[in-house]
Amino acid sequence: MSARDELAARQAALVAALVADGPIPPGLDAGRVRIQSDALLRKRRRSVMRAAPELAVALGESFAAAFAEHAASGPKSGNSADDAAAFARFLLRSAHGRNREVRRAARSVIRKHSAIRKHSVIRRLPGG
Amino acid sequence: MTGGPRGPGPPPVAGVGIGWRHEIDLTVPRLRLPGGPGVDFVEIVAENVHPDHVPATLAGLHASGVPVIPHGVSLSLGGADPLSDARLSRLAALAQRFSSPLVSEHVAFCRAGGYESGHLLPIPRTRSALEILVENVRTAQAALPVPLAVENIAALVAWPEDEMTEAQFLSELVERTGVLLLLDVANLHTARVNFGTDPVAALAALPLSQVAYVHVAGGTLADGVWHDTHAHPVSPQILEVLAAFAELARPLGPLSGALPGVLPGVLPGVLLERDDAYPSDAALAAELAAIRTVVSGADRVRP
Repeated sequence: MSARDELAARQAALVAALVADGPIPPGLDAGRVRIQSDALLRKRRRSVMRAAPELAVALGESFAAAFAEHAASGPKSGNSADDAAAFARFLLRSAHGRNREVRRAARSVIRKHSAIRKHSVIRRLPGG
Repeated sequence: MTGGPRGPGPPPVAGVGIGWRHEIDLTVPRLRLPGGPGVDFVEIVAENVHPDHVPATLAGLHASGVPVIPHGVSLSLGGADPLSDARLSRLAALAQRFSSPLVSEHVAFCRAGGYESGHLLPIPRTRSALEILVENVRTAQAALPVPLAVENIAALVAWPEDEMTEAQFLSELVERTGVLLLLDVANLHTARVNFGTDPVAALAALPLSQVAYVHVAGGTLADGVWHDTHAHPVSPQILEVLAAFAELARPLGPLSGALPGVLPGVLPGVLLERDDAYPSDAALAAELAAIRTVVSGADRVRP
């Protein structure tokens, strides 16, 4: 195994533990991994809230819980607008989609996403 | 560009800066008005500004002579994957668009095994990870038209295989690549809270003459760890680390008369990062003024 392969495996194990419910890599503090994982989920949620505020408005107080359900179904793929569209599709499939406001907001997000995805600059929450 | 040590020349930026963000694009010029705290340079998040579609407010700032530093957050310099040409090209194009004195990134990784973490994660401080980081930094330097500075991150987790302190790791990286440092004093505070690392000892062990500029940001204590949120006010402990840096770095400034127009003991620029929960202009102005006071040494008790 080359040094790059070894580092890749180690880093992949940590990221999988953080965003894809993978096992805690040997030697890492499980409590800290959980804290980091929660922090990444909050950042992901804030990014989606910025990319598609209408979803947050429609969901109101259930936004965080609904987003946690969406995040549990898989890690973020693409940018925050892609994630917002994936969240909107998740909402339409879930019980949240029974709410008319949520349905309307989700459809609007999906429609806008397919229209603008080629041309827009998607802002990333910086951090660091 | 494979820069050598920054040496006795002036720092690439000086004074006090702020992270330019779309949400505060009208605030930044207001902070430059007479009676305000002044903004001597800004930094932009490279991923969020397209070189061909620069917002008018940012273009205006640049046209009025404010240096603009592109700051990447997703290059994954410490990752095992080869660096993305597209991300490097974006940094290079922004540096050209703004005639930037340098660009900056992080000693971190943010993707592996097909997953994006969405945030900066620490790399193991081992010999073999350092070799890969050195290769990646050299690749980036060769692809960029201006010098590169790399930043210490705020970590919540640590690798059990760490063989070096962060200061040792960064020092060796600098020695091997000539890369500049973007020193985040808030992240030194983060390391103090989260891992018990003494920030002053870290400062003393770092090659401070290689610091191109400095980051300051607020955070919060939760679950017993420091979260570098960039959404809270800068706390006094972080300004104390900044003061310690100023104290140690001031004597490293260029010698009087060695360079025309450069004052003795000119410190690298210090930039406030605010990314969320934006406060009033007055609150940002007060934070910038507090930073300027610390950097100027005016808060020190003179004999």
